[in-house]
Amino acid sequence: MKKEVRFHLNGEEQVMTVEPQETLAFALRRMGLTGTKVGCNEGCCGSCTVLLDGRAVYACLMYACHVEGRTVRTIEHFGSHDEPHPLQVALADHGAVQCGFCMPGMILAAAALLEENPKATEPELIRHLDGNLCRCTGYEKIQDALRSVMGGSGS
Amino acid sequence: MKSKDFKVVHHSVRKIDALTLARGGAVYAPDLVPANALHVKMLWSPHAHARIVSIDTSKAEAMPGVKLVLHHGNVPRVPHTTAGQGFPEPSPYDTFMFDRKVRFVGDRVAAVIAETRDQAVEAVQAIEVVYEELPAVLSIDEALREGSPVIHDEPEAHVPIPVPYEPEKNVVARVGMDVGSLEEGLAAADIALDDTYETHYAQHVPIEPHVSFASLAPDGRVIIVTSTQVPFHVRRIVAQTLEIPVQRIRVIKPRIGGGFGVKQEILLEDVVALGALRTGRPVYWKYSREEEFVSSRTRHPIRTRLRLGVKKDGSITALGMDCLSNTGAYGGHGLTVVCNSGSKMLPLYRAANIHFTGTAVYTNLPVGGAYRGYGATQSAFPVECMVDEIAEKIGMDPLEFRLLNHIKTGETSPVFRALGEGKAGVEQAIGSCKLAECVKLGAKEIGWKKRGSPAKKTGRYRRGIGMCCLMQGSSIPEIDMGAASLKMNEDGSFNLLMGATDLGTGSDTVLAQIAAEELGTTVDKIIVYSSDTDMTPFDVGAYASSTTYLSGSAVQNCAGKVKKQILTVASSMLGVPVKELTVSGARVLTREEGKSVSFSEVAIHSLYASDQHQIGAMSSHITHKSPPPFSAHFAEVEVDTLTGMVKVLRYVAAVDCGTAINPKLAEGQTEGGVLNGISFALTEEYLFSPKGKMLNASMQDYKIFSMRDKPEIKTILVPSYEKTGPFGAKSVSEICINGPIPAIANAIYNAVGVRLKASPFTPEKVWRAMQGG
Amino acid sequence: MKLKDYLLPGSLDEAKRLLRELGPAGLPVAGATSHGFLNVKEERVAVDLSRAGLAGITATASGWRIGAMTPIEDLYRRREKGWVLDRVADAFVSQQIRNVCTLGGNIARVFPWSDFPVVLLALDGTMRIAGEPDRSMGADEFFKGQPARHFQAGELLEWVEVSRLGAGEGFAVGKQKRTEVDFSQATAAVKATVAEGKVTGLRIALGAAVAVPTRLPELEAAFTGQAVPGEATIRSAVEGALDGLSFRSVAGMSRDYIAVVARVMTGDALVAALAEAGGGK
Repeated sequence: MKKEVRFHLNGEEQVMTVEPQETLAFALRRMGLTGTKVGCNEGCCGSCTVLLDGRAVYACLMYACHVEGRTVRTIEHFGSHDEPHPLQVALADHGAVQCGFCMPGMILAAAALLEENPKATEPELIRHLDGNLCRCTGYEKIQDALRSVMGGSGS
Repeated sequence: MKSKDFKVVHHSVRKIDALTLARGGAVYAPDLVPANALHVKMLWSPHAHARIVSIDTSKAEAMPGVKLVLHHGNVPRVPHTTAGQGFPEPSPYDTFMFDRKVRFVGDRVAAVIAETRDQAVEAVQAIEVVYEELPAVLSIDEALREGSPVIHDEPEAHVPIPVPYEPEKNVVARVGMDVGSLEEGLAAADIALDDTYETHYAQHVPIEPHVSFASLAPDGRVIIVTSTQVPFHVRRIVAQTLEIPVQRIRVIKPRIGGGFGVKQEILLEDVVALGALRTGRPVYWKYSREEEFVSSRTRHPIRTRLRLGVKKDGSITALGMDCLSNTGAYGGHGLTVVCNSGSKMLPLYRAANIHFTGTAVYTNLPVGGAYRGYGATQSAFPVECMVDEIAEKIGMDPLEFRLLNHIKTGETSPVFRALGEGKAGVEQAIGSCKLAECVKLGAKEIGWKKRGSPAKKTGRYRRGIGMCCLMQGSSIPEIDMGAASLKMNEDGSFNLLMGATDLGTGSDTVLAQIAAEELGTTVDKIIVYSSDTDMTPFDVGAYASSTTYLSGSAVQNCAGKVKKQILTVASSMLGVPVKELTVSGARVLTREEGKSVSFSEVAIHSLYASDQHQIGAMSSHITHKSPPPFSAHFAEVEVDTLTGMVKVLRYVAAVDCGTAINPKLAEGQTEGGVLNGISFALTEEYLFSPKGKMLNASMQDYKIFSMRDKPEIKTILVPSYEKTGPFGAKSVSEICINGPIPAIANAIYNAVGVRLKASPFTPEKVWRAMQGG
Repeated sequence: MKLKDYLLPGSLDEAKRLLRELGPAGLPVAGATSHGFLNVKEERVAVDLSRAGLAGITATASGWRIGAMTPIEDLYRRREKGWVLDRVADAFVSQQIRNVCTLGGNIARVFPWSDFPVVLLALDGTMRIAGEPDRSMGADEFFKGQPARHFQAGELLEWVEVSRLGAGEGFAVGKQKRTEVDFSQATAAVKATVAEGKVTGLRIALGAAVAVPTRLPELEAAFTGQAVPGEATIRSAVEGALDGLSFRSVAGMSRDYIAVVARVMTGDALVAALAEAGGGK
């Protein structure tokens, strides 16, 4: 039985038609929002991270039907070619983007914390990013980049 | 040219694709799949070793959405290797697209191609297979036992080059060398050690698993878009396997979500290509995470017997290494990985007598492949731990022992000539080595002098510091080739087309920097397009630490040719001889009179004004050396003596990679490799059932480190200048992963006084060692 | 898992009604983060409880009432005197899981590695089952076997109550994992009460190392009523006290070794909880 899910997606009202067991990650990708990457499909790597009512969630573990009436933001909502998001600029400038596959998820997870608390401390940020795995960078450059955009207490 | 004069290289320019990737661009294979693509689901072997008595696909074929079922009865039977190496490969042709025999849990049995993935999954369950189970070989010892089951009993199995191959004994490869006499060297030693070390199965865990799709062009050609490190080898091996001409295949590598060696293998492309050819539809296949663990490739576990003899003055009289490598069910990279165990670590220290044997054996376990470090990771452990131990036994600081004995600029090693890849190696003298500086700077950073001795440490949590030295290579000399072409556009921009394959390392950026430096322009004027077998010149691909050194030289040569053409045109425009011209800031300038023309003016002149022609060139490059990068690593650990839990507190990696073309990216390579190495040393491992099935094939059960687990990693780039490399560069990408196992093992010893000889250093192993074994 | 339908009841009563009507076909969804571990063959109808009004934390006279659908992250964010669940929620799986996984989801079906059953055993939490009739249950009874056995079709976990940690009380958890985001090898939770230098109350629970979370009554009895023991006394008591348990092999590590970890974690939690209780914090 197909289900119609009405929700707010990247600032607009959206309706998507899904199978009841379809995950949000695959539903979004079917809608052309391929910035939501699927690396493990088992709730570990964080590539599929999206924001649900401002909080970072794994779209691969979430039933698409669950977001009925709620607000979802994906990486497509963050920055444009001409005006990239400050996190994107910082990550690019600090050499934090290697293969890049983890980046959209990493950015959304960081954005969730920084939107809520621009003065988050580095330990808070590290805790907040424990669900986003990167195999390329060893995280050093990612941390450098995030440090550079964090408010006052970041350094 | 001196490094201070560099305008583009040796600068951390922004990686050219960084923003696109950070914005979630639709640039990876799964983002590009046509909407009408069919989906593949593979039926994998549930048995470690069995013959397929019969296979009935009729029920599956009749199921909704199923378009095609492939199995050994309906595909070409062509022996080949899945290893993406130069041709003819130094790996056995022991693989068929589908075979009548399965050789590990997770081997291919049959593929269903259906309209949806769910339909393919359901149909796979309807395939009826009757197996005749065979006794399985699940260890190196069983493989070598007299009368052991023969894993590759098919008559076609052979190696396409003249090297030893004895499948009837489960032996994939044997290689060896002797300089002087190990026995005499050991007899001459004041102290000799003889011990056995073992490394374990591990996986690369690229965040994007293997993924490919193929579609048919209107003219019937097959276009394969694939997450690969070796697009040209993909084209050749798919042509071979499907018995179609190379001409009929185009391979495109889009952005890829990490490789680390595991994508130097042709694992999906044959199936999607044949699927597209037979159905006429696009065919898409992406490994699940479980499939990535079980059915892709792994790091070869290697057991090494190491013998080391030294005089009391610290000189080395004998160094003997005997490596036994478990290559799993298929032999790709079997010879070359074990050979690298010797060739990359034995030359590190001067020794009067050197002995090496490497033997690779088949087992009915997951398949070994290329993994960053490529054998050197496995041998750095025994060498660097035994050096540590023996230095202590002669009362010498292990750091001083290393400084005394390591190979230095201008020196050579007989190992370079003796060990190549499937043939003799290439003699070379070390042209650049700043290892001593690496050791000194790293020691200072970690606080080496304050490390204390284990006997004096007390309390539940004890800290220790350990170190190791490392070397690797840069490309496979006189075997690998890279090529590039460059053409000039009327706005002074350039199209740089290269076979070289960027896995996320940033090689597109690094190579663009090399082109821009040589041309006298900036990176933003270089339009890079790489890794498309129809459009770009050949390159062997991204492996063997080769891209910067090998492909970079091809790019530099090519840019040099283009620069000459620019000067020639400018000369006629300015009426000044070429020898009086120079380039800078995307302009051609006269040395004397202050006249100049811009690149754009030169290009417009050449395209529209007179003697019209395309300014452009193509260059190839092969290397005659494989200059080693050198590195010294230091780890500080804390051991919980009650549980054996080891925590790495700090890690310092000092590396001499020649000129770092892009320092931030070079640091990033080092930090990424180090952290991968640390979790490999401590937590990553394959757990097997008694019947050879992997038990922890998920990221929940196979743990790689998150930001919350990592120690502070400090990279120190120690510049040297390698004259044979582009602007003095050597490699940087692989060496870094070799350090954590020995550095951490030595640090554990320094903390609690136990020497570990088998990785990974799980809390149970450390705890047991502390209980006295 | 194949779902026939996905329902989002807007109230607890509606959720109960739907689940009653669906019977075994109904699948309550609390956060769905553990659905990968469920090996369900038949088609089910998901009843998503996220809109049923079951989330939120309210203070009570003696502590807090925590709605079953409260995400673990909300347990972490709460900082109040006597509140201790933030210590457990700090390093609970990963951020994305903490945002979605709920307290009810973590305890209504107990996996060997689940944290909160162990914690609630130590804290002597109270569980409220909304059903026929509504009823409350102590942790000892609730976690005896799978909690599912307490629930009839259409019954749901409504809330959990924990009491405020007061003066002379201490709470601590000892847990060993390979990495921060990993299944626990052993989780020990201890609540201790100390008065006038004596241990007047002690609840010790152990999970992960054993298949089912369990109290350690012998060890509790050994110290209760006695003067606050020193670390050496605790370590040696723990040595003998766990002998009767049947340990699991976790993450490739042997049962024998997991038994060692269980003892050390139990000792760590005891030492820390007694220190906090004795310190009057």
